[in-house]
Amino acid sequence: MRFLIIVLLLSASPLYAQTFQAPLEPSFSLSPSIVTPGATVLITLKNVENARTTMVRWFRDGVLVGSGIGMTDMQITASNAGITSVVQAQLESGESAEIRIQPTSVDLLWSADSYVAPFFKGRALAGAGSVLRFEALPHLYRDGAALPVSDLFFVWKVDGATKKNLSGRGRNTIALPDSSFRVDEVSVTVENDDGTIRGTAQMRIPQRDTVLELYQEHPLFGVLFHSPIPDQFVTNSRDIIVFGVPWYAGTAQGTRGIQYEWKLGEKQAQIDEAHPYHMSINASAPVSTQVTLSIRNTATWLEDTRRTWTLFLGERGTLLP
Amino acid sequence: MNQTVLRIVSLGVMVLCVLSLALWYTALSRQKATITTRDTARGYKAEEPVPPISLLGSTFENISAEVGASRASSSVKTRSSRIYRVSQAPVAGMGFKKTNEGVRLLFVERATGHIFSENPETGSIERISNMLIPRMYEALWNTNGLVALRGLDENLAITTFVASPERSTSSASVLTGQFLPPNIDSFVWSPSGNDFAYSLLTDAGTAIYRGAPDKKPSLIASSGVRDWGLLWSDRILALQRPAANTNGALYSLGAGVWEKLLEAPALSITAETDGLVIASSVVGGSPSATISSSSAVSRRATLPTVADKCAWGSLPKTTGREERIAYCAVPEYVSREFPDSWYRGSEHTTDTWWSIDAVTGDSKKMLTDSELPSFDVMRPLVSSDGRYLAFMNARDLSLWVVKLSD
Repeated sequence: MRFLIIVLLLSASPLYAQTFQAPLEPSFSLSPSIVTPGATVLITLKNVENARTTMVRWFRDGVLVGSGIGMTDMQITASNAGITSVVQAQLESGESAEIRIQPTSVDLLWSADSYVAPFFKGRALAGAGSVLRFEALPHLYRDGAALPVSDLFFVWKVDGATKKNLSGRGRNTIALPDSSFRVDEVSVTVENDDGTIRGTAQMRIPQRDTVLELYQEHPLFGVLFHSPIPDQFVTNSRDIIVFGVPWYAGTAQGTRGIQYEWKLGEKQAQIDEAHPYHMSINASAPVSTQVTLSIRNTATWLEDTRRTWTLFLGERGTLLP
Repeated sequence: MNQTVLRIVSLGVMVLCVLSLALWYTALSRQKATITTRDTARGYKAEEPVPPISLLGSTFENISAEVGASRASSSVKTRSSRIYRVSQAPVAGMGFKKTNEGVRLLFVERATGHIFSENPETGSIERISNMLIPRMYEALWNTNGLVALRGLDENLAITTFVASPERSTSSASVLTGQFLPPNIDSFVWSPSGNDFAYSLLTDAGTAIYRGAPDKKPSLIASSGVRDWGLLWSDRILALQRPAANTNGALYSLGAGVWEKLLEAPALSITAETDGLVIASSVVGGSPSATISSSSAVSRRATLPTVADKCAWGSLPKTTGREERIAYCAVPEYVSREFPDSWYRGSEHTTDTWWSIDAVTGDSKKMLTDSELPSFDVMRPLVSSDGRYLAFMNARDLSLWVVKLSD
């Protein structure tokens, strides 16, 4: 019987502790919870007795920045990354609370493995069937010193779903393999070992359909990438080599994954398997011909693009309708 | 009997052999004629052309097919005007070089890879190199007269040859230099011209190397993503290539650390060594370039253009001032797809030249002559003495010079 009473008393002790919990000390909440450089941050003082009637004095790095009765909120502008601000709230009762605000930022970069012509000065956009690459460059600091990538944990999310196999310590780069389904949004959260320093970034990926262009491959000057062939093209030459460029077509399967199909008029044209992107057209007499280029991409069933051009080969002006 | 049969068979075999040889000869002759025709069409063994005004030869005179060369260009002004055309034939690139005799404009003919030197003072042109390197797509010059010649091999791999063209006293020289690794994505010279940097695409993303002529390059940075363009002001910079409605960022690559300097939609940059920057962005088809200097007293100026169409120069010393000037070509109109469509060649702009004082921010319109042909300016460049502005017309890749002072 004595044993039973002891067991009952012991099992009841947690209830006793909860019932007589000591009053909570003043603390803070931040909005947003992850502070970026230059951001406007709302600091809210919590667990204050008689909060509405208590005088609160706010200090930032030792300088009084505001005071008032019941003033439990303070808005500040965050400093630059790597610079810590110490915010203190002093209560009329003599109690005080302190929070260190360390702004963090993460640069989230992306690129797409999609087809662009050589020497192109613009960005390869994310067409269907592209491999999407991401890199997070974190700017997280402890006591003014940058934390190295190898010491940080990276959690990647794609369209809201956490990618556990891509996340982990030091994993600041990922490549999303080809997908027929488009990726809309990618985010990354970076934190240190104990989770006390955190940064985050997210971005939407601009998607782009394939743009099919035809360029003249001149025997002397090479491919005239500076001037695509218009829908109707007149040349006094009867021989022409044309070069097809499927701008932004995904190259998840390499450039070999892009399949070219040429038609001259209604007739399927024979292609050079080693160089399927160009087509030689030789006319024995002045002629107008329709050239159709179709692109299929083994990386995605979504890709099926075609375009037709009318070429007037021969004497200038005689063939125009 | 047997002997007779043997003779007949032998005779038959001999006749067959002779006939076969005759057929073989005919076939070969036809093949040779085809090859000769094709080679001639490509210019192989073509006789040196003799243009009416010089003994240099010109690809443009050699070809009959037109290559986007505007007919209007035949009515172009002569050298006596403030703007003149140096080459009607497409060029791969150009650069100014300071010599003991004055400034020279060096350029590479796109069809042949031949290198020429033009004296902007007199308009005379001399051939520096006659080494045939057909189909040169890009020629990037440095201030010392070295050039990176960039072309394509038959599998569309980019080739890069760093050459040191030196003209001998008697004749045009053969180019000497070194090949860099294939498929260099971006190449840039240092402002001094002693070093260069380039980027290569890797399975992991991008690797960036620093090198010098005749020295082994070393890896200086790497990235998990691709599409970096390199610049070199007082340090090496990496710019995410611009795209419409897409944020791009500029990073400094000091000591292996990527430090973000700027970020904007379709960001493009033209930077100089002494804190002079032209940064442009494009939002919804509206370009905006900001011209700024590190000088505390300078005022910023903005123009509706992109940094790709701007170059830094200095006021000629004859004016007694040492101020820096930005020269920008401003498009009359761009589409909502700009600059993507412009980079693809499917959109050409019609530009007007403006000069902007980097200190006062004052801008002035230049070359208001309405008879000038339409220019879509690309790769503008100002000579070190500030007297000449060279650019390519993106419509036909012709080469032009503007005299900034007499």
